[in-house]
Amino acid sequence: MTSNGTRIALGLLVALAVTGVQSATRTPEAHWAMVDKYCVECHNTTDWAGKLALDALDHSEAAIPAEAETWEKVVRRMRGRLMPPPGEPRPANEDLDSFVGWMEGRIDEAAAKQVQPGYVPLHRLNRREYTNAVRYLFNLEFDPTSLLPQDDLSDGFDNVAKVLQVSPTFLDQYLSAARNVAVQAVGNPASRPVGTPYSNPSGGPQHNHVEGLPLGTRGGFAVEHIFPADGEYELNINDMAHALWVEGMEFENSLIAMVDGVKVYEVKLGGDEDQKAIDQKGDPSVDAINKRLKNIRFQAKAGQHRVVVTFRARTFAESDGRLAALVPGGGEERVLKVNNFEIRGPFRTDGVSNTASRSRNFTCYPQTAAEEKPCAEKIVATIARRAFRRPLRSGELANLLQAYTTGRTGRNFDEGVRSAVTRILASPDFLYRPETAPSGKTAGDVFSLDDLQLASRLSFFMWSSLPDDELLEVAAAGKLTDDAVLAQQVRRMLADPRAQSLARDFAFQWLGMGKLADIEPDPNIFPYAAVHRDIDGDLREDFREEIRQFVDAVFRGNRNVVELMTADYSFLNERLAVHYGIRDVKGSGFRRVQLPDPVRYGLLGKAGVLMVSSYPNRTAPVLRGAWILDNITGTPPTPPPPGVEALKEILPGGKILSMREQMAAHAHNKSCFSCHGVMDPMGLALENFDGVGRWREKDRLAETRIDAAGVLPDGAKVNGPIDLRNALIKNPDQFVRTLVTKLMIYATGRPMEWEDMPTIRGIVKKSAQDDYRFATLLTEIVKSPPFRMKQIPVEANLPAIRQAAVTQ
Amino acid sequence: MFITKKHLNRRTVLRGVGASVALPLLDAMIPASTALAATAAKPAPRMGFVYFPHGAVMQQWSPAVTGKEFELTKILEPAAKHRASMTIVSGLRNRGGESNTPHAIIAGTWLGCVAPAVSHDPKAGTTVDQMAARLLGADTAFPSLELSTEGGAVCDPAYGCSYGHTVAFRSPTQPLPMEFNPRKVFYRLFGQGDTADERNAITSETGSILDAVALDAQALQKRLGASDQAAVADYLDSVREIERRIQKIKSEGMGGVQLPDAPVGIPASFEEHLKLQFDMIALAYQANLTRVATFMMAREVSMRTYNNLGVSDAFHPLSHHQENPAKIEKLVKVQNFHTKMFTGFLDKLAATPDGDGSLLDHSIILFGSNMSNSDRHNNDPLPSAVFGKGCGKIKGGQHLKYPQNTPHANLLLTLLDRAGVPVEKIGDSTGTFAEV
Repeated sequence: MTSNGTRIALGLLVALAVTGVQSATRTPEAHWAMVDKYCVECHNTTDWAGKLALDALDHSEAAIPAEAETWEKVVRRMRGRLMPPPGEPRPANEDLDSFVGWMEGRIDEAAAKQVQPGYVPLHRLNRREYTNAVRYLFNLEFDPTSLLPQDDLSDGFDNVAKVLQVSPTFLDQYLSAARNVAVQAVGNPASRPVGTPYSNPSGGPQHNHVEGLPLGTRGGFAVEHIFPADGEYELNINDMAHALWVEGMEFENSLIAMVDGVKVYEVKLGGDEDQKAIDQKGDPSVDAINKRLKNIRFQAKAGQHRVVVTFRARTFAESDGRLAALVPGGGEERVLKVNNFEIRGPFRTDGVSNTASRSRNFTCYPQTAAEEKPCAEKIVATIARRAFRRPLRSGELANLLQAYTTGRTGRNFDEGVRSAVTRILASPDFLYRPETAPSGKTAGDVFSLDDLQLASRLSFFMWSSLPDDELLEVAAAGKLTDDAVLAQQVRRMLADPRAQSLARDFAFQWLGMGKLADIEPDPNIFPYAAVHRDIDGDLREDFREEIRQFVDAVFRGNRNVVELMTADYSFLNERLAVHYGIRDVKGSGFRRVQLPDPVRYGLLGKAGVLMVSSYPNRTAPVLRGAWILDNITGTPPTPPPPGVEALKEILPGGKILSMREQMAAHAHNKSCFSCHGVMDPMGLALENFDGVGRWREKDRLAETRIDAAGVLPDGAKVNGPIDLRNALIKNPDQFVRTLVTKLMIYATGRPMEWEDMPTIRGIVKKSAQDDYRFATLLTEIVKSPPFRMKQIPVEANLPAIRQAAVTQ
Repeated sequence: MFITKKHLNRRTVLRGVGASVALPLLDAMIPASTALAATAAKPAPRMGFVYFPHGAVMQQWSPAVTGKEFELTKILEPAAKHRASMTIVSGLRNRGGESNTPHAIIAGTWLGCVAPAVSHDPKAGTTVDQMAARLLGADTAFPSLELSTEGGAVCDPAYGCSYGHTVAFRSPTQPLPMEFNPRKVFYRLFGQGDTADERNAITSETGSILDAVALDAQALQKRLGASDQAAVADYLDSVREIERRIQKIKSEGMGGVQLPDAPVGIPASFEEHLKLQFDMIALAYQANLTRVATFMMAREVSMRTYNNLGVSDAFHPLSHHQENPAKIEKLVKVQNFHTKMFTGFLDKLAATPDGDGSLLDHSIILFGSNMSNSDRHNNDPLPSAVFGKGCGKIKGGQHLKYPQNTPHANLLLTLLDRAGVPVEKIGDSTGTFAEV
């Protein structure tokens, strides 16, 4: 990574030059003159362009801090070169940078004199955090969507406190979830047979081995099923034979079902006999074949077990398929599929044996009636302490034990514990993360979070989960507020696999990966990425996994975060490698791969990123440009004005326009061009990547060669993704600032406002001294006032009322 | 009931549901030869608000002829058999839903008609469904039901994410989440537990837990500052709301409802999904679990493709049809399909006896959108059609056309009036329509 190192060192020099050296060479008068010459033409008290009049602001250094809210907006647009707009006369880049550096310097100086940590309203657990908490408390793996309603998003994130409200619908499901979790955690020998349906999460074909399933199998899927008791269960698999429809029945398929890797059932489907029977006898034989897939009885112990339904793989030679396989890497064709199955039970239960969940919490078990109460106390106290993230208050345990007594009465010990667990999970002390002010503090006062409050913030930020016992102990001992201890905990927690949440949850939301689920590529245009085609599976799963592993490698590997933009490695499996035109990666497992072609380096070469900024049937340079401005440079464009006409794809004479020709319409209109002049060249530089991120040389509709050349707003000429990437990280501060801003929103659970910008710049500056290493970013963030302190809002001044949030 | 040897598909199961839910108003429940209005079993109006995003191709929605002799247009044609209970209302405008960024706010302003504050925090108008729910829902287990088919928010730098994915606002600042998983809707309506005994046990445990957590919440509230106390107040209100519902179910029971299997989850096919959600609403009306429902058939800026209709373009980009006839044709196909699915729901209501008539006779269902021409993001004139006779308070069988700029809020006010919900003004409303 020496080339990276050099590039970053250079970038640093530029950054230093911007903030320090050059500003000294220009006088404040020169800066004001620049504003008057280039900005006031439109932003004046007559025109009020963008509701901003810079001539009305006091042109003196001393007056800057009082107008910081306005100046922050100004410098953000200047940094992104959104202003002055493309096409208008603009100052030299050095003058703009110098002005920005000077202005930010003044604001930061003033801010340093006064701590403004902001205010985060009462935070409730969101669905992800709840599910993770349940995993931690009970060793149980739940599908979050089965437990709670979807949370509202704000600023792109699902953990912004002010929108996480409670309604009767929410509380209703929250109580059901508490009950469900408690039943599963304790187990239930008296449970009645219940059917739980599962469907195959990947909608694609099942020709190949599925990652995670036993080798020598193809297709199928696995689920983690929670069995409430020891006993007999039943498996029902989807119909595979259909009347008058023999496809897939020509060849023999061996279906196998396994529980925790042990085969519980095997049956043959298809082949000459079955095919003939369907053909000659019709419905009765179809029913008979499908019957082999129903009412499959097996024994299982209580607790969470992995159930797999899949097929034995045959060799390609045996498959009798086409010689040239259409599936990457070969594999069988015309095969049967496991689309869904259902687990029913238990029938004939014989008690509950020790499950992973029980062994975590039933640290004692009463042998006599006298032992019951003390044992219940021990169990309930431990769970409650973890769930409430603090030592219990006096009287609290007795209160919780009332639920135990109610459950125990007329029933048994387990039912008592179950009842108490439900009670704990339903409590507002679990749901909310109260950060109460020390007594004596009033509106407008600033206070520091105490150790336990800090522990919760830290663990929900880094793990999206509860503090573990170690963190809680450190906090309970009052040591966490010590900077050195805090930094050491950050390191420890980052090394923990739970910190994968930062890639999967934080980064996915930052990069807008949630949108992938909404984009179903048009199968006619992108046959190689279509979801329901029988050839490829759903590539979007691979796109996600690549980005997850890639970001995780940078984050948890404590790399320089600029590598997110520049890294010459990625994580691929065969299917994705083929999509990228890389030949020597085999199999369904993801592994680190050195990228042969620099166009794929960093996030801008990742199919997931390229697809979330496209439409299902075409690329969208505007969306890609806007995506970069939002997520990489942190200078989001303003939304289009009303009444905008859609792009013309076809001219009246029938000529199909290339994307670049369609975009040219933006240049005809000054108001369009002011934003599109910035966005379009960025998007067009990526035009060689099609709507699903595959490299192409030609526009398939217009049949012209892709032209990826353009001029960025700072005058830099770019041609293709490599130039664009280099331009975007020329000043790495810009990218790191965006990342830090997004991390801060996620870490604190509130949008970042203009008052926070000095803090953010400070964090970037400090992390620059350590090569922008991720752990340093994290440490600086958790040491910053917005993370560690709060300012009690003055009623009239509640942050909720503020209108223009600096969302950078 | 839960153990069946043969796997039934979802449709079959639900058809079963329809049959096994005891009707709230069996004829046997009405004493012989009593005037209907004088008995306690007087049928209550049901209100429904069914929303489709991205407006309509207006020339294929609004009939050219007004009055009783209107012709059925391509988009409304699937509902032909309900012509007698159909009221098409043309020419309306909703000023509260107009903005630079229509998709971000129009769903949430459809039933409130108040322009939202430029803020990331929700602040617009209470919606008419919720006004209706306060009265009509006061004595049902659920004041209202909010359903959709897609999750995910529609966000905007100016207005935040509050208005794109729901049409229901309980108060100006409280958007209600809409549930898209039919399985969850089912659980919510009919509760947990396999048998009546088990359900009773769960209900009583839930009751005592609610008592306990309400005390926890009050204690928590005392430790918090003023601004955070409001959040806990929401929690406490929700606790009371659930307690109220439990009380209701306890005192009235579920009318001997025999519970079948719940839907397995979110169906793979959109068609199936729409049907299931509509079935849930019909069931809830039928069992008198709620009288007010809102349903968003798709969310704003939906990127869904309609491969079942041979339309592989994503819905939102397609709605920007550039007046291209081929695209318009496809868009009309999609809109016609939405009406077709909606008609299935009307069929069900029409086939369900309710007191002296059918559920449809006693319903007021608004079917419409808060956008007009999707290519231009127009909000004027809006596509709106009302179905149902509202217990005889709605004439039906006509096409009404109002002069340009007549507030859409007037129609909403009219519908509330016909349902017997007294409200003076909604947004920019200026009065009710006598003609409806």
